Amino acid sequence: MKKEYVVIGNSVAGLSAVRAIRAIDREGSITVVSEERHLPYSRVLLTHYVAGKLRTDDLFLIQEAFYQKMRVRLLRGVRAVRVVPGERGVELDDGRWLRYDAVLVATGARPYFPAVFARGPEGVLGLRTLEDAVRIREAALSGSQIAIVGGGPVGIKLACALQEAGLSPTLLVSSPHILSQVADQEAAAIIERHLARAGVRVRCGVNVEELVAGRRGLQALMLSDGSVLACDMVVVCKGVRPQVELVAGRVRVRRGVVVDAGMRTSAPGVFAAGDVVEVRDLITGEERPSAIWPHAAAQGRVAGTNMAGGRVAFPGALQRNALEVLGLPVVAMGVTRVPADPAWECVITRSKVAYRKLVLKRGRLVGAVLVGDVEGAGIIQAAIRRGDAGWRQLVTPRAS
Amino acid sequence: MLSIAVDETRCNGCRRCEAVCQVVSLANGGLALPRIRIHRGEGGWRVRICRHCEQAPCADACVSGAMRADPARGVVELDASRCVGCYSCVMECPFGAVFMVEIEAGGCRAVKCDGCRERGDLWCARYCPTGALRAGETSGAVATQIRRERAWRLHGAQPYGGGARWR
Repeated sequence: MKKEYVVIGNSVAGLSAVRAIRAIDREGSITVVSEERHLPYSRVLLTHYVAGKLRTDDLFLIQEAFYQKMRVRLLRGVRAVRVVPGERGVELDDGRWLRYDAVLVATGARPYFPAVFARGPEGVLGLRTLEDAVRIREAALSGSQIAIVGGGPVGIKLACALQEAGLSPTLLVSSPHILSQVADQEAAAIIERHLARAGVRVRCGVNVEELVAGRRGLQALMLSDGSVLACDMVVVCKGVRPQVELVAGRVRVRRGVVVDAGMRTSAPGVFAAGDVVEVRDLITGEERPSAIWPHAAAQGRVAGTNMAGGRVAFPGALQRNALEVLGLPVVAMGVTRVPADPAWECVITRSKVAYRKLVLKRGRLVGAVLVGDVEGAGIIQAAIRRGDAGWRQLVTPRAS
Repeated sequence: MLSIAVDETRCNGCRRCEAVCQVVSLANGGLALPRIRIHRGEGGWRVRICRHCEQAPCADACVSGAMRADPARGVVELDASRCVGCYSCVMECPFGAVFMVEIEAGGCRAVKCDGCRERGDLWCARYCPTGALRAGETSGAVATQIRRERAWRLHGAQPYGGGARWR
């Protein structure tokens, strides 16, 4: 009998699932529900668009032909309102009802706005959608003063992009150093120096206390150190939160949708993948959302395969980020900050151009931070995943 | 489709493959750079060349659509014109086989083995004197060796039929 698949979400996880389903089930019908009207585009490339290095056309991940080739019915500009596992159906905002044998919830995440920004005036936005990026680009071209809040990878990439677009942006970071969730203090200091040399102002240890709005929208930010920063636009890059509304109350949800290793939720026939889920961390065992691209791709494939009757598992999350900061490459993987405990040690190599730190717990490689020279970072990641003692070969010098 | 199997334990570090690759790359209209690199690691040589994985971590992580795995043809292809130099593939490749090359001030692009594209042979393997690099069809003995090596690198399963030759 022909199976009916519904995929809610048209980005990395959803597309990866579609490919996996079609690789197994050539007959079944696949419907993709996409809230956005655009074809799927790369959110990670939005900062490249802001910098003026890519056009909007360069951002799209696939062409229309993909859906024909995969024999997918694509519903664009339609929002799924709720998934009803009891009746095996999805309700859409245009009143339609889609029956399913297996449904994938790949609704992703949305930017998190701290309370002070919650009902902000015109000029407060996140960077998640193409529309956001277009607004920021327009503001940049018209010479607006743009402040960025958040010292994570997105905030840093945006600051670099605005600098490349000819502005001198200010990055406001509440932590004592940038990348506080991603890298260690020494790496952060190197990157901060690099940013400062390029003309990006980074101010750490400050919070936004209040927004000052005029008749034409945002005018300034009142900061926790008592200073006032004049700006017409503030982009909040304080991370993302899973969009779980669609299934909340019907499947188990904590911070994200709870799934097993096969990406199954607590309701039969309902799968979830990508930024919307929370998964078990390979190293720490902690369950939390980990909104990174490679996880979305891998989880989508696992979900799609299992939806079509296969049996595969997602091995677990390994937190990691690769970043290019105005020519300076940065890779951080696994555990990067070491607790004061004799069971932990670091192997650090420093040179004029590079900082490389391997983090070991009881002799087992559990993390790494590489700045300036990220050559062979994947070999280190593989060693972290294997959990063997083979890491020592990683610190031997390269053949000249 | 030809594919390549690597047995690092046989590599003697002569680096003939690097030289051959560089010539073929140039002949194919690319950069005069080897897409294979030989490094000395602890206890032996490391052969850093793309294994053209079926479920390629580099393609999974590629944010621009430049890196694509085509399992039907047994290749992982890189469209350098779409690469934005984000280092995601470098972070993912368990073989350390994607290299970043500076093409302009501050602008990098990924470079990796393209299977000698239209040249009908895997030249590094043809010139390898020790059998560390072997070319063969994507099925058969070479394929088995490729799968074993990938499995070990990714999951810690023993390569080459259980012998702990990698230390």
